[in-house]
Amino acid sequence: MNEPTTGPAPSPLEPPEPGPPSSFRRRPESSPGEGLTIRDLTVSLGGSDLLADLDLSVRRGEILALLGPSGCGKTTLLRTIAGLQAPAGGSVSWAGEDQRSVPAHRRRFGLVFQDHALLPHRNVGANVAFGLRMQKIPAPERRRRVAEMLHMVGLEGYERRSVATLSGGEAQRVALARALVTEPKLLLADEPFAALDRPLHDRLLADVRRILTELRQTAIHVTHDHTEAFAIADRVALMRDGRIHRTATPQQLRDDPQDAWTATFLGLGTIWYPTGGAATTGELDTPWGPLTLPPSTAGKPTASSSGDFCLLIRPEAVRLHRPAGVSATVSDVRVAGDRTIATFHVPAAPPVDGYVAAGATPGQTSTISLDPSGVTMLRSDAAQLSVRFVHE
Amino acid sequence: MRSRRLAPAALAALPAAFIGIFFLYPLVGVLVRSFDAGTLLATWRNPITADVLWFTTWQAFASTGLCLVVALPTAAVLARLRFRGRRLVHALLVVPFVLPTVVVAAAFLSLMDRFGLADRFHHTVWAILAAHVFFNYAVIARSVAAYWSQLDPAPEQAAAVLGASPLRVFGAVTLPRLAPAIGAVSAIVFLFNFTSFGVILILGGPRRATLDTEIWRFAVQRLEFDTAAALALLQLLCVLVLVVGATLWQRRRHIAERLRTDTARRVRGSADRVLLAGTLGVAAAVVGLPLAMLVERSLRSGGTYTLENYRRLGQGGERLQALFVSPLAAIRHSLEFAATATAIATVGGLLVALAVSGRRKRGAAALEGAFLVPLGTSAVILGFGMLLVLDRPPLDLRLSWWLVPIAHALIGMPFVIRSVTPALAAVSPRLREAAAVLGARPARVRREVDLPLALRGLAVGAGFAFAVSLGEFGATAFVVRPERPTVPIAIFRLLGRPGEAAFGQAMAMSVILLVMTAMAVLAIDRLRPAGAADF
Repeated sequence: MNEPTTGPAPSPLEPPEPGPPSSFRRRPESSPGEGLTIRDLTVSLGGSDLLADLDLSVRRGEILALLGPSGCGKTTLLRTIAGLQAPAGGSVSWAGEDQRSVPAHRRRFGLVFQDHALLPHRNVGANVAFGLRMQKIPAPERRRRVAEMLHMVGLEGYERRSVATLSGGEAQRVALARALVTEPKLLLADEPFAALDRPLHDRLLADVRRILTELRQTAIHVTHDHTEAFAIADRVALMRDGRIHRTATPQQLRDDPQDAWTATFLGLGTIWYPTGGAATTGELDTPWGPLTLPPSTAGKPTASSSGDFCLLIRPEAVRLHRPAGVSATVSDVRVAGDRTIATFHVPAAPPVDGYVAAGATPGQTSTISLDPSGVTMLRSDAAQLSVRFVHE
Repeated sequence: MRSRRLAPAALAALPAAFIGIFFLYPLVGVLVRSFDAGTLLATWRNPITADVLWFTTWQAFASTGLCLVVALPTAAVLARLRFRGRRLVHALLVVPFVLPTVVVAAAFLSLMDRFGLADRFHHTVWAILAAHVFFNYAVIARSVAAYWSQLDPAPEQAAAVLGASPLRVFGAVTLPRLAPAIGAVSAIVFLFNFTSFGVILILGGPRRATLDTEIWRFAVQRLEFDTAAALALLQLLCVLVLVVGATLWQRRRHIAERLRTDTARRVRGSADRVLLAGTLGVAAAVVGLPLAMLVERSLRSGGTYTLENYRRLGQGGERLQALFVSPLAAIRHSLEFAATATAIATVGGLLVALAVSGRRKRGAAALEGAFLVPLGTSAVILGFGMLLVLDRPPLDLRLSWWLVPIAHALIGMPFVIRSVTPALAAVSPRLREAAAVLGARPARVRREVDLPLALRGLAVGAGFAFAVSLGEFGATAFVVRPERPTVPIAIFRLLGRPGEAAFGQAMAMSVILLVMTAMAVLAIDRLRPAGAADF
């Protein structure tokens, strides 16, 4: 009791460290036991399955991004984990303990809502303190922890502000602080930045990543934006039609999307389905000229017959000003980040994007060829395939 | 999961028991009594009953028609023109609706007295019709204007482009589109007029009797409960037919309109200004004149302006003969009754609203509807039923102080439910979920989230319950103890006394009741949810 400035007694495992959050215990470096495990989870509404036999696991201290298009069931999964939605089957467990019979208010998971869901009749301080009050934390400690948390999210001294006066970014920070201050076992964030403008979005994203890493907070971050997912997460769970399609690191997903749907959803480039039967051991005849697939992708899904594989042509594959090549018409010249991208049209082929010099103009003709290092062989997607056959 | 579903039902148990014992049980008592007595058919066959039924019906028709004629032009102007003070006019038009019937009757007595018309019009149907117009003018004008202002003007513009004259447009397009709104409010106003009690008792005199006044006369004055019960059954049947008929008509006439926000346009040109001035003039005359005359009359005694009438109230007034108690005691009784009734109605209404908000749509509507039934039943039937059945153990409440506040709470509770339920429905489920995830049990969520956010609705409902209790006359006339009169009862007794002094005092008391009611209504408008600072 003669240490008025620190809260809970520091654990002997934890050497005191510099940095602002004095009382927020960082999770131990390598936590024993597992984190969240979801097995065969099925959630139904009105007779149709929103989630079907879904499996997912999140390690302690890990930030997992749940990435998928609108309507794929991300929010439903999050609400089911939080205990706000009852599953029809399967299990959600934390550290090996089944959570099915644990109501939402006893799970001690934190949830950040897309629309913040700040209590309008309470000020910022009372909103952040709400969870601590529910835990019957005494008022002095409550005040101190709220102040520290607000400091951490960059809203120092905001306690007495009315939530109605907050900007979108501030409200989002308050919502985050409210969830984090209770030291939840698992933080669930449902598209928390979807409504923010780009600069604010990027700044907040970096801040949240820093705070979560500092606290070694286990977190699931839901988003439909792959750049956001890649920026914040250690691992990304790609979700499609109520199932986890694939879980991988951002790097793995980008370098080897494995199938056409993933590559399309991540916006990695143009998908081309070989038509003629000329695909054999890695030599391909394409509308952009002959292509020798690099050894790294050869031996991937068998290239023995066309139809069950396709090619991802990334912008960096498209090379200009080669002596050999095909003639292509340029359209849609646009600035992307610090580079310029144009779309190239070749007869009997889908348009492909490639990087061009800043002076390119629509309508001009260029000679292009494909560099194998920018081409990745993928499994074609059943859905895509049928669409293609209908078109032909 | 199971406990969460059971909880709402448990919440409603207390108010359900309250309604069951003090509303349904008396209602059943009336039915049983009317069948048991054996005089049912004799009463119904009596030609006097036929006369009463006929008068009840035609005065209700005439009043409703007259109200429509006076109020629809006002509705048109309020709906179509935007002018400074429009919202204030809307707000002021609520006042007549919440005024006690006794005050309105007194206002019309003073109006007739002022212009020397008392001899010709007192105890005639004209005075009754005029008072009914006063009461319902605002009801019609406000509700039709609210609907009208949300109608998309495009069909009218299309008709005009197609060559229809403005009059033709109104008749062929606007009026049919307004029909559902006009029909709905007409049915409600007809119901009010059909079950009108205080106005008819005071302005109609002995020769003008409706079903409700006859029930009171037989039950309270002549103690012929069997006849009163037979008339009550007749009244209930009429109201039932009316409600069912109106509902069926409305379902048939339903028009799927895509409602817009206010489509009124700014006042421009002298034609608009004349129209507006005329409308405001009519509103002022219909609503303002009787009240002004009431205040004026209360300040007149012995031919001069004086505070004599009020002074006499303070000195005990006509206490020995008419009231048994001083007028000031009546004010105290009214305030005590109103406070108690408001407390009961607020707690009960809040519990019902919480129970309703925890349910799915269909169940919720049915549950809410069940608790709103007392609002559709005339206060006279309510009072008569209580008088009839609450006279034997274990519920021998004849002499109990509680009978009046209980009756008032029954009438006030629907107002609380109607103002709290929308407030609760507006609470985003996200907020409840946010609180739950942060560790709040379901009961705690209600206390921390729903309750504070519904507070304004609750305050409004409580204000209405209070105002309604202050002015309640129909039910009170049955269950009140002679030695504990409320202000409306005291006014009624004073009006029954001969002499200028008693009349003057009745006017003074009416003004006091008017001020008390107006203050309650103003408080409704002022109350805001308490700010946020319990950190």
